[in-house]
Amino acid sequence: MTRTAPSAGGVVVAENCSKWYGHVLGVSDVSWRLRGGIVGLLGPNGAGKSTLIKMMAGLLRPSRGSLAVFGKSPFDDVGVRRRIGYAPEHDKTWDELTALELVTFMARLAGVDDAKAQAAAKDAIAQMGMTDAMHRRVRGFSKGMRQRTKLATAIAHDPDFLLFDEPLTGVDPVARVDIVERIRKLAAAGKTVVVSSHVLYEIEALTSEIVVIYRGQLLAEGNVYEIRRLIDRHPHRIRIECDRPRTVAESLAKSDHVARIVFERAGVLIETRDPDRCYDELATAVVEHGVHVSSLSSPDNNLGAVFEYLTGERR
Amino acid sequence: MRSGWSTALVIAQLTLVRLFRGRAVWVSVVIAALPIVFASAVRAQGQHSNMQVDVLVFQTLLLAVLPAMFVASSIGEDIEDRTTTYLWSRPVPRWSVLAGKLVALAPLSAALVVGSWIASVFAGTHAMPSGLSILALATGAIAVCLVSAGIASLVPKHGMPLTIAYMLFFDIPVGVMPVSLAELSVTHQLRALAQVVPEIRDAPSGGAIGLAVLGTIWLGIALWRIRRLEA
Repeated sequence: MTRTAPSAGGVVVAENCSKWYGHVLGVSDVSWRLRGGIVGLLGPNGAGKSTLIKMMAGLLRPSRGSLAVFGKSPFDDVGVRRRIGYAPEHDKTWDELTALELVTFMARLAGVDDAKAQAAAKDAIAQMGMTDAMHRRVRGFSKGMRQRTKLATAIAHDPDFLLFDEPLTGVDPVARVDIVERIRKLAAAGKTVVVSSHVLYEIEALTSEIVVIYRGQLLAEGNVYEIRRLIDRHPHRIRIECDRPRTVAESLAKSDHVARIVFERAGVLIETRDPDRCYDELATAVVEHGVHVSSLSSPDNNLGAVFEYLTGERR
Repeated sequence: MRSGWSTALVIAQLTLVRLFRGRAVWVSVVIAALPIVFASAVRAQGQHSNMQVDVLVFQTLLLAVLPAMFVASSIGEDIEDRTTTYLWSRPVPRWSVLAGKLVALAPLSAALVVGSWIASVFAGTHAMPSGLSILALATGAIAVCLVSAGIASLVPKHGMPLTIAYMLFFDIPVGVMPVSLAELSVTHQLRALAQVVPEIRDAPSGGAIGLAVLGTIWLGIALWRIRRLEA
């Protein structure tokens, strides 16, 4: 694998790019420039991540605006797709083939010489840790093996730009660590990689550079810590279901980090600007007053709630 | 980068590998054997009049099914299952995907139909069918493959059943109408080229041109649709 310099304008340049499926909005007025490296595309399901990735892969044509990869439209320009490797989100593939056959066919279709295609496929399969299973038919593969095979099809022709749509979905924790490591190696080898996920910690494991997409719009872009800081500026909510919610509320009411306390049917909801301190004080109050807690949860663990916060930030 | 035709050959190879690992080929061989069984049974009963005409009716039914089984299901499933995302994200011209499938499947369909025609005529008459009728069945099968490609690219989800329905409920009935509307029918043009049915007075060249025109129209529809499709 060779390190390739991105084109002068950036690997991807999207300008006011929108995509509709009939009346349904996929991506709305996205302007974005990707210069290189490994970038995480973060957003909840249905946010528009796959639409954006498919436009970069040349599978969808923008309804409005433009999107160029290496300066060319990937939908219209067949040649530029030689430099793109795409692993789709879905699991459907030609299950009648073995992993080696599948990856070899994909390499040949991507322009690798027939004589070299099988060697390239074997190399890609080895990079994804699938050598032992390469002569088995895809039909019998587990989710993790399918993900690895998909990634192998994307890298077999040694493209400069890799698009992995939800590559960690449904993968067991051990395989997840391994796949993350292999994707990082690709980026270290000079590839530009875009990885989508709806799980923040998956993206954090891969890269610190993230783009947050929600309801078809790019909400935020930059270092993951900046995004976290942005998120942290919003109160964190903790819901406590207990036998004496008023006692808990009184204990925390004087603390300066508590923004709001709301009594609910079975407990109390606390909004805090310092979750760590709040959890500590909560534990102290529960122990000191002998409060029986039946449930403790944070609605903000749902990423959708965080995106709602970020949407509010932009308004 | 590969040329479009080189890509089409890779796709043809991929299509055939997949096909021969499935059941469709064996099912189609069984279906193609039905006219032979029919012709043998008729001959065994001693009814020899118009044997070729009767077998040709059976063959048109075969034409309604076999190309749809191969071409329409191959194109329709790829679009519907989104496996086209693997193809269209490669440096592959859209037309070459269609061409690859047709290069693989149209000769196979034609070979099965022609093989069935020769075998059933021989089983029924102990004679070989005419060269013109063999040519008619082969070109007719290819034309129906193009019809299948057009319908499957327009309605991928139901490509195979719609192609069969189109052939059974439009093409074959229209083809036997004694009006100029019959010119729209692939099976009518096939009969004109085959020169087997005495009632059809059209010249064989007219049948050949008709098949070419109808095939080209459906191929044009398929290419137009595939070029615009998004995955």
